[in-house]
Amino acid sequence: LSARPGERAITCPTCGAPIALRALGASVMVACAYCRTQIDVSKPDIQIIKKYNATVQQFDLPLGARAPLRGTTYEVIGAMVRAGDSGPWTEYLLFNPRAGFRWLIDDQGHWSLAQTIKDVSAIKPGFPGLTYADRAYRKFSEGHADVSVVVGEFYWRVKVGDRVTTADYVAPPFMLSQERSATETIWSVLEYIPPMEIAAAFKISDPEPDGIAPHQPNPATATLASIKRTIWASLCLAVVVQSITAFAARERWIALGDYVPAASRGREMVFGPIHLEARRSLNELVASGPLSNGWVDLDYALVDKTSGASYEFSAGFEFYRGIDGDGPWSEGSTRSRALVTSLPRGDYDVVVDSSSGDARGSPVTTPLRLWLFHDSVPWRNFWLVCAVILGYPFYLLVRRASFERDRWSESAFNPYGTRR
Amino acid sequence: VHSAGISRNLLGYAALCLIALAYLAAANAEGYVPFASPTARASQHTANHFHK
Repeated sequence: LSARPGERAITCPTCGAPIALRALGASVMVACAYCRTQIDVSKPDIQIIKKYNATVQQFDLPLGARAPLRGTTYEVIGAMVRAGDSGPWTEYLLFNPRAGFRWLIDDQGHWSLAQTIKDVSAIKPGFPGLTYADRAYRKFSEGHADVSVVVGEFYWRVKVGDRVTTADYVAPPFMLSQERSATETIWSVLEYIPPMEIAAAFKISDPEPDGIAPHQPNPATATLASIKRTIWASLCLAVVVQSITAFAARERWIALGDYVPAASRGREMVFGPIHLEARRSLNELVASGPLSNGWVDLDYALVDKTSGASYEFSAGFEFYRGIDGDGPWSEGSTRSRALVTSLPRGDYDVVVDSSSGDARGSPVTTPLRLWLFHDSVPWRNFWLVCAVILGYPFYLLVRRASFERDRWSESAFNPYGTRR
Repeated sequence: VHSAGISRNLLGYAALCLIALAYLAAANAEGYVPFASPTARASQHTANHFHK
């Protein structure tokens, strides 16, 4: 282990191993990577703080490893394992001569890059907990953290057994972390780093994160943000297309005449001819009448007088009413509506046949008024397309809410209800 | 990989929206709506029948 330019080499007083001090002048202690002896390097006469001969903790990132993170290349100069209420996690001290110190935290496969906040006056109380750098943070947890393993060099005297009280506030992908000891309070801001980014930077195997980190970005939020413009653009285009359609539609009522089911008695009645001027049109054939306690089934045929093509369809309605112990009642409808799609321009006869029955089982004698609403605006297409456009965003909203519920289920400050 | 996944979602969603909008324009132009009840159908045979 030889010292690079700008580093100072010392020898471990316990095992004699060479130790390179990377953050010269800033570090006050260093733990030997070989025998775990903790050494005070703040004074010219190097002193042993504590010998630590426990089983060597295997850290994923070795001391001295260098990697670019968020545009700056850092070197791992120290590492420690801390344990709290939710289990142990690992904190790596990173150093860059220009940028200074950062912490890289590995909590169950979830990685964060942390920086100590020097100007704590920028942290202000506010809804829903704290505000810092234009972000609102919500309290997620509080507890304690104990140092259980330490190796490498640090800018303060750290030793196994050191305990701090902690409080975490989240605004994904950021977290504010407060550490209080008897002598000081330190605030840090953490940014969530995707595990794959750490694996690529340090060339380690892809970590498998466990569960959801308190400040892990909600994947549905990112996807929603990426498609937001597409949603609005698509909806606007749909409105434009539908507006043009509605503006161009003729929407003309054509009265066909009265039709008495009992009078036809199995014979088709022909109404028309009517002229449909739209090139291809959606049409509604409406039959209505003061039907009472009866039913009517109508069979229609729109016959193109030029080509002879016939468009057949049927519709029916029934209406009943009476009085019982609860008072008057009624059910059914006194009109029917049949949609005929894609009718070509032309002159048509409307041929009607029917079957019907009244309260006595006889054919209905009530006259029914027949109308054809020509070139109706096809709103059904518009609503269908809106549903298709909004379906995926709606699914993402559900996914986002589910993710947040899972995230906060691990918190004692769960805004969604009690802890699971 | 994460951003690639987002781009894939965006492309897929944009393609879906384009298809939906193309359907809207074409169906409106043709005077077509789905689930029209009952469905009309052309029948030369029936036309002859009615015009006897």
